[in-house]
Amino acid sequence: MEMADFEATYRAHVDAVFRYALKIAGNRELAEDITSEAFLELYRNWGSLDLGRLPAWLFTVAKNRAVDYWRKTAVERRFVESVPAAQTTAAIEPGLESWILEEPALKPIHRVCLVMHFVHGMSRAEIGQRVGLSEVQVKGHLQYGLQLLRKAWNSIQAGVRHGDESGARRSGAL
Amino acid sequence: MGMNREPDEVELSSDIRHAAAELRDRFGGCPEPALLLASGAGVLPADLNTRVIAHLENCSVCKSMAQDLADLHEAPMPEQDRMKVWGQIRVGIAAEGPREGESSFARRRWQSIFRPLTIAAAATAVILISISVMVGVKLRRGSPGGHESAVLNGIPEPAASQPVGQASPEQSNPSPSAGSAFRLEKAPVRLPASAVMVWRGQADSGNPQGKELEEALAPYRADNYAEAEQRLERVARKYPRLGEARFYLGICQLFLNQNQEAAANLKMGRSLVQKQLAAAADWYLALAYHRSGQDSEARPLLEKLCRAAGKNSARACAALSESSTAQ
Repeated sequence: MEMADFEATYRAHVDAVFRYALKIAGNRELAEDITSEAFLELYRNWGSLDLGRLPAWLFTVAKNRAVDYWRKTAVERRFVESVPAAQTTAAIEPGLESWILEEPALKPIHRVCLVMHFVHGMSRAEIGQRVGLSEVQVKGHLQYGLQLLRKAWNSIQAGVRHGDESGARRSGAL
Repeated sequence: MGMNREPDEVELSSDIRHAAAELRDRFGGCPEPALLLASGAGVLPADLNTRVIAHLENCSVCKSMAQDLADLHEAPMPEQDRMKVWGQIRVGIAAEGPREGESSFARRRWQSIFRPLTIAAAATAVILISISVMVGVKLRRGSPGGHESAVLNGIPEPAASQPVGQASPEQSNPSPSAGSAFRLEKAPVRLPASAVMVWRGQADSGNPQGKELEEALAPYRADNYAEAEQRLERVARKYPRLGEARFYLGICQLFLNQNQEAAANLKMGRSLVQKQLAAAADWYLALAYHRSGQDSEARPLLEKLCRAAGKNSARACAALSESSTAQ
């Protein structure tokens, strides 16, 4: 095997494998480890593997590594404890919650950054780790979302007040 | 969970902050976003997966989050991250050694050069090369003229050629052969920027250390490592924070096969040198450790260099591979 061929194969597929690894691992550092292990496995099987099976073969290896990670007792226990056991129906409440979920000017990345920040209390660095972005990029997305929020806040408040009044009329309070 | 407030949020009105705090109270107990995607990919253990799915059915924010995370169009992987992962792969490959039935890259290079020779002819060639290099080194050391920098294979000097007052070299590792990844090569001279900008052309500079360093490096440029070692030792003692003095002193000592002294000086210098020399300092320190038989100290340095992008990465990876093969 020539290293140049292996490196060329690496460059052809690393982006896709890393993005997949990031999705199933949930953080950048682990995704990098999973990606490098997938290609190491490719190296071990170089010569016996039909390269036409790439990148699907690499995704399978990455998935298996992720399964191993999530199965590690300590990891599993920690996350089982973090998922609420009691599930109650949670309708979307008017106000900030509905704005984040329904504002058409927000793209998925903006919503993800806003929710990770406001709901999960993550810093820019932590958000960047989760979604594979730099802190600067995360800052940009958060700023965009917050600017929209400031502009829309009065309408949001008006909508909340309207909803409160409607609810009060229905219940006979008004 | 406390929220890390960024500077731009300080400008948010109090009622927005209040609404955000309410949102956090309502949904702050939701599972980590990582679990939402992992659940969709089918990589979670069964019990955990069941809980996540049940939660998703009842939580609008998490349901939206899971969809958004799946839809995210991430930017292409930055080149430096590609190189970082490539470096991890190279470390892994080096740690495994050559694959069954195949030679290591260094070994193939060696074999391609010497395969046609018989064992006797190869032994004769090595002896002749050794003698000629030893003679060449001895000649170069004696004259301060402008010689081209040589690629020396670190073959030890005969004891009689050692300058008076120098300690006998302590050899733990045999000198590497010409094809070895651990071969010693001279580092080009690179002065710290402050020294170059301040003292050049200014005879009465307020920063004499640059000038003294330049003067001490003159014999180094001429491959006169014994003389350079003495001068650099003086400069290093006089200016303890001048990392470059320790750096080039360590390299001179490597050429003089004073490996333990070299390791000590390179270790002192590596945290003080200019940023552009940091990786080179790590390389030479790893080399010094290897030549002193301290491969356990060399290994982490080589792994770090192998992982990083840069000129020293390839030779560090090759050295790791060679080191694994030798074990």
